[in-house]
Amino acid sequence: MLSVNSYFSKTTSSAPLAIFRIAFGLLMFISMIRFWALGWIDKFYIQPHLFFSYYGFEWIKPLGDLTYVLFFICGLSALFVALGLKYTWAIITFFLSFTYIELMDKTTYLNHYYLVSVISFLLIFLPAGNYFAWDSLRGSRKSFLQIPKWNIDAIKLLLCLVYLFAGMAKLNSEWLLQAMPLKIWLPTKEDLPLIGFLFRYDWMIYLFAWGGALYDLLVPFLLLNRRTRSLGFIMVVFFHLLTAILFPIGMFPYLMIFSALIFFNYQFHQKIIDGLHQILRIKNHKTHQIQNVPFQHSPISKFKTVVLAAFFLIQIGLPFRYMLYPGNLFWTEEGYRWSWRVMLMEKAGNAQFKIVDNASGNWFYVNNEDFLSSFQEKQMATQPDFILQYAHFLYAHFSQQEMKDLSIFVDCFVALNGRKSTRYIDPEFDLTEGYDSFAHKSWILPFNE
Amino acid sequence: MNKKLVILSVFAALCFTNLMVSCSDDENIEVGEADQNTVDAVDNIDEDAVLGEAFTRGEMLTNWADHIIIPAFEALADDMDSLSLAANTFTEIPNQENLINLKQSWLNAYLAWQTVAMFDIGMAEEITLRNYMNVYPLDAEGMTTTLLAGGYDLTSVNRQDEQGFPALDYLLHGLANSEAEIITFYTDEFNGPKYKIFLTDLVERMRSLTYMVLIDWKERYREEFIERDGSGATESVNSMVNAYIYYFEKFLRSGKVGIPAGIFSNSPLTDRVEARYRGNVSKELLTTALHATQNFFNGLHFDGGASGMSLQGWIDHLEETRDTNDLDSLINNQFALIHAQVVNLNDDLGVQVTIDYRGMLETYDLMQKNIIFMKVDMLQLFDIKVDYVDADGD
Repeated sequence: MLSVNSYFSKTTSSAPLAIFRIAFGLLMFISMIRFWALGWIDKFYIQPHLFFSYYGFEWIKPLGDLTYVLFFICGLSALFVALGLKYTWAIITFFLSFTYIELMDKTTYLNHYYLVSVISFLLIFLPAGNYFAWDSLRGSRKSFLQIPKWNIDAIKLLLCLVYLFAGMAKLNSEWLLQAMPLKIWLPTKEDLPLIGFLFRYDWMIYLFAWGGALYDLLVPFLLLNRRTRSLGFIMVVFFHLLTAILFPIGMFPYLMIFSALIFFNYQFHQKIIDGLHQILRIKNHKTHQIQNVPFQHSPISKFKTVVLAAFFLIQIGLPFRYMLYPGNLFWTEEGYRWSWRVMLMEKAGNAQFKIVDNASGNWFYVNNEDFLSSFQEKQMATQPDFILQYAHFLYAHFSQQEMKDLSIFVDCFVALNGRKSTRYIDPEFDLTEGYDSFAHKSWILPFNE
Repeated sequence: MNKKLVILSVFAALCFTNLMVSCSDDENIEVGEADQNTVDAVDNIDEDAVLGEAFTRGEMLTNWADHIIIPAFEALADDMDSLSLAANTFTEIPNQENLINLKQSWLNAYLAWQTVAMFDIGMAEEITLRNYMNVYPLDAEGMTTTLLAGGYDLTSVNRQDEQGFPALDYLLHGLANSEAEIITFYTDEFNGPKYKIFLTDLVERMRSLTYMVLIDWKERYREEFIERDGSGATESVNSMVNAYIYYFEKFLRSGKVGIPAGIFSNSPLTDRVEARYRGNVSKELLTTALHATQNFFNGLHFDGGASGMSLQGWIDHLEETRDTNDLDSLINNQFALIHAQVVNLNDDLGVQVTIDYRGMLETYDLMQKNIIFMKVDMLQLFDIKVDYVDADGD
């Protein structure tokens, strides 16, 4: 216990946390503008007729035209976070608005959106607004040169977990032995300038697969170790910029590159801050040497400890939950999300829904285009929870008409990682009889190698 | 601290390179050359390790444009000229002989249309050619009102279901039961001129739209089409393949077969059959469209002589390195099954729907199977996305 206590009483410079806050806030601000400018708010959250909810979050829906206001608030709060203006309120607002946006429709689920939610949640509990921040420079908020060391280590721990889980997820036969799905993705890039020719070589694809897995597993240790840190960071930059060229992954590479700066020592960050002081002509305001509320003693800090302990336990536990489900994880996707499984599979499907009027025996097919955007249709056709929710939507829609006693069946074919497409869902199963839960969905047909 | 500076400069340099590489995606010509040089250099070092011939999208696009798309539009334009001639002859002297000729010209052009309907790209997409050429069912009542009122604007979106081949179908076959009676509509002292003018206007509009697309292909779009040979979502290959599959799914499978068979509506809809007033040619139109889509898949030249790089060839190229080696034959076999089923259908799909709609259902199911091969298996192989959106592969 002594060593634990002494760890938690260690302090360090608050410069890295300040730089992290600024970089994170600015990147989020830019990504909100990007999302808006690409017209995606309208396309994803206004145009569609229905939205796919996460189990338990069915009450979270887009707000019609007010969705723009939501994005505005989210972008503005990101800017406030970067500036360190009303930091606590800003980061809470950002976390809530961003997470709300992500929960509106799971069609757009991305691991890096989840990462943003998770980082911003963690930032609520860290004193990131107490140094080189608008408020602390103006004296309306206390400024601390030193903060508890664990504050910075918490972010490092989170980033290491992301890399390690992403690396472990790649340790499967598809990735290592078949080089899938890279074998699908990379050869189509063979007309890329400078590096495109590489993807005509089979061994090069395997090199990318093995290199990627090794990178994920090694880079946390390279970054943590002082001697290998520079090498680690060069790898971070190289790897993420390469993925930015090869894959449509938006802001994620930049988020990871700037986040990795946190591993550098405080002098590096202090230099940046000193430079910014000069450029922005900010006079040094009175700063406190150290955060004067010791971590362990106040009730608020106790509460923080519990919340953050639970937070990290969940972070470590969640990626393993797939073990509780039978069947192939990539096929059923039960326990797939929230686990840093990035770029692991290429899945495509086609689902044809059949509505049967049990009273007359008449039936007809559904034209998915009438209800779903092309992106929603694509996501729906490969994921059982989407298929189920869509079937229930169809039931509600068609049972309003003359027919009351309906059954809904789906004929769905899915191709996974370059295999020939095979039937995905039991075509005899009446989807109106199925309900979403955390339990295994027995109507998913077994995966055939 | 110098070390940090080194890292920062490496970081900046990489960022810059990244920007250059991503940007230069659009500069096809220079990049293409640079790329070619690199490939050559590498080929010399280790020839065996290279996976066959490099497939180039440019080669496929050139084959599509020069040997399939442009010749198909040229053929349609020729048929439009004949149609225009026949329409003028008929309006000058509305007799039975001229009506029969006009009907034949209409059918020829309608069959030619089936070979270009899938090319909803470039100018055809811009002016929504399909929406002015072949929207059915026709709003016959609305069309008659428009025709009699005169002063119509055929470019209006509201008039899309009052023109094109379906409108001509009605004007040539649907006005009355016999040819003699139909001719009286054009010889009528009061309304005859209105029918004549409307008929001519329709034909001229279809003809000018066809030429608009053909000339654009020849003078401008061909070059752009071939030059946009990247793998991005807005590049030619992605747009064309998406347009092709969309056509097969929405217009061939659903439009010509599924909807008339009542697959989406609980009961057969005879009035949704293509060329319903003529009746006995709907199967021929379907067959022609099917052949056109299969020929496009195989890269068969429009004149039927030879074939060039195509979806089939691309599948072959990509499957060299995979365990599966049969997607192209699966798709071609499926086409064969569809043809074998369609042969059994009545020449008039409207009759087929009434006497035995299950024949149509079976056709639909066979076509659906090919949709799965193309949309699921083939698009996965080609790594073609339906949408531009951030993704991390899950």
